[in-house]
Amino acid sequence: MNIPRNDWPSALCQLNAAEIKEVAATLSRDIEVRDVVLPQAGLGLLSLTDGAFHEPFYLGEIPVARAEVILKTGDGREVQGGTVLVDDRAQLARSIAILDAVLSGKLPDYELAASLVERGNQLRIQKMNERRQMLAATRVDFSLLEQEDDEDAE
Amino acid sequence: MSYVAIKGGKAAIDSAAAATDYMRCKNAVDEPIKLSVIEDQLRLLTSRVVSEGGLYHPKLAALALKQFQGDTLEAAFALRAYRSTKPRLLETPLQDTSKMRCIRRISSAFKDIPGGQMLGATFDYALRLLRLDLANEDLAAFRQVAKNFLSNTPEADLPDSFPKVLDALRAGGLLPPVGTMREQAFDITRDPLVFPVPRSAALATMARAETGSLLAMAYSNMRGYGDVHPTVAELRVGYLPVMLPHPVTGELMEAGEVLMTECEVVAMYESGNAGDMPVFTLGYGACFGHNEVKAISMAILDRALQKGMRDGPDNPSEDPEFVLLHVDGVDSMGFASHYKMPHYVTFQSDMDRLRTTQGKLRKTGETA
Amino acid sequence: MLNETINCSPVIWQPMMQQQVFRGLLDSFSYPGRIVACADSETTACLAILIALVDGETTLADPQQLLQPALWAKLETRPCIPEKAAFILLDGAQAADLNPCIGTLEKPETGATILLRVGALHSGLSGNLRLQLSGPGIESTTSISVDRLHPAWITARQEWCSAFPLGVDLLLCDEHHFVVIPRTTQIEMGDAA
Repeated sequence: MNIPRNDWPSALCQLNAAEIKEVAATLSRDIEVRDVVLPQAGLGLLSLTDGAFHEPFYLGEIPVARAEVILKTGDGREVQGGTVLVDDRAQLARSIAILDAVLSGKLPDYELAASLVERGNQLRIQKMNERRQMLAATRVDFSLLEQEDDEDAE
Repeated sequence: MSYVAIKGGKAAIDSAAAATDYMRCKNAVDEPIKLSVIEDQLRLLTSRVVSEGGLYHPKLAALALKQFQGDTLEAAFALRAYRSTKPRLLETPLQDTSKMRCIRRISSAFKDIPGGQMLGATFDYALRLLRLDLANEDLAAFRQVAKNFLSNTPEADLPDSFPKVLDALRAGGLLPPVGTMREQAFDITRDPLVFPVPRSAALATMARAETGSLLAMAYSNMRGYGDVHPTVAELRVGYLPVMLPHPVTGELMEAGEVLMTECEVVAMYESGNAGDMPVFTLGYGACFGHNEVKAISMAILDRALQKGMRDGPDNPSEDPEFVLLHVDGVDSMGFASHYKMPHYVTFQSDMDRLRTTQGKLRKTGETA
Repeated sequence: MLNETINCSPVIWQPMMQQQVFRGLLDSFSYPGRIVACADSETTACLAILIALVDGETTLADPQQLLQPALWAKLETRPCIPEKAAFILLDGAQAADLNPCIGTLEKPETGATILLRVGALHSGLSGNLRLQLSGPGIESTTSISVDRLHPAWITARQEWCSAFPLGVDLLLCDEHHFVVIPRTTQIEMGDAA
């Protein structure tokens, strides 16, 4: 699977949360999972620079959920995982953090996690394509306007 | 002013709450509204509440609209109340709106902009004729609409994001330079507005302002109580990817995306300081959700307030105190609504004073 | 010898337990000199208080490194130098060498809250250092005594609080209890036993 780690959460978030939690639970059943920080759901301030003068300002608040875990396998291997999401579900963030660790460390049965990411990524691509279709269909072709002017001038 | 504590009204108040639910549910034929119906089929209404609540949570905005039976001011209030119960976890690094995945992108200043103009889904060119076929919509037909649209439009090979129109103007030397000082942005959720306030406070306040209030003030400027004379350089609606550092690797990762509207207006040019070339002046507006009127109004007011903050206001829309203190929907609705609270003691003393004054005048009238 | 380990049980991370610790703090701030038992008996009191109170919007100084690094990740607060911190954690047995923030006339509330780890808190006079307390929240006077609290802390505190409303608020914590001496309280130090 060649989807970069930084794109795994946005792919996974296209899927049903219950499914993500179930797979994370299955994959971490025989592994010790330690919370580095408590899974949290709260708010973040969205910082932008304005288009006129590039001055920073806060557009408003977004829901943020984040988690950081360390997974320890039976043979003593430790892998870190974490995620941060624009979402209000702390336990979902924890599940995705677990999948992040499983995938990045290629822990046992990581293929299950990989197939979830791939499926989510397909949904994401589909969504992007639909947006592009809408843009392409509504694209203004000003060259037609010029052709008419030329015809009037003749 | 004193408010009378109501003891006798508790039963009435409980019943009033029950009565609102009765009003919501007394049509027992239809089904309860699903939140997704509000989010999808009333998306612009949801956008309005998201931006006026100041919290990007479309599902909760839909819930608030359902709960408060369509009152946008109450729904925004509910969203603000909700956010006040959540802990502040982080500030995002500065996000780059040129990375916005546009679903609409137009310019009134220029025909040809890099990447082209795409109308997206807009009512701008629609005839304002009521579509009576929507009154009793056929379910099968409804389900076909999206499928038909997608199959009738060709696959597109467009980029995900487009450069900003203003950047091209700036490269041509027609715009004021970008500031290099990155002042800390003002956080209106933590600090009150004590004038004079920096521009970031004005932008943040207007971003969550009530749409009608902003529109009225901007309109006053457009109609002559002001001098902006704007042209829209670019209006874009789209999904901004929110890039946050990965907790383990520290690299920026996409944590999600946020629907927003952004507008830059070019206003009358002015001569700079002695010796400097004259340049266009600019205004900027942005808000959560899809709300073009709000973004345009905000951009006009941003330009007006820049002038007012620098030279002093000549019109109400240029006065930061006048604008910024009166555009917040929760503040204004709250104050208007408080007049409904019992003011019996205050009013009693008003009546007493009036009767005394009338009495005195009658006496002087009799002896005269 | 003071048991140097600061204990932390898993239950202190639950919101309900933090609420109970907070209720105890409300009591102790309302009635200065009242020794309150920490709701979580498995977690060292000073840590339980910090867990209940601090978050990403405040600052904590731990100049003597009493807290393990793993705890800092979970506290999710901002580390800070003692001169500027909102909360400071220190060993009460060692003499004060500190210049805490005492607030300003415009913002007296920005004065630091200092948590001092002490050996034992006694509601009677059996402890080493006797303190007679009076002021708001105390009916006439109350007396407590403390083991392993260096008297220099009380002298320093008197100086920091001499320009009320500027000042600091002290939280004396033994393993399972805490007592608050806010800046509104007058202290008369008794003899060391």
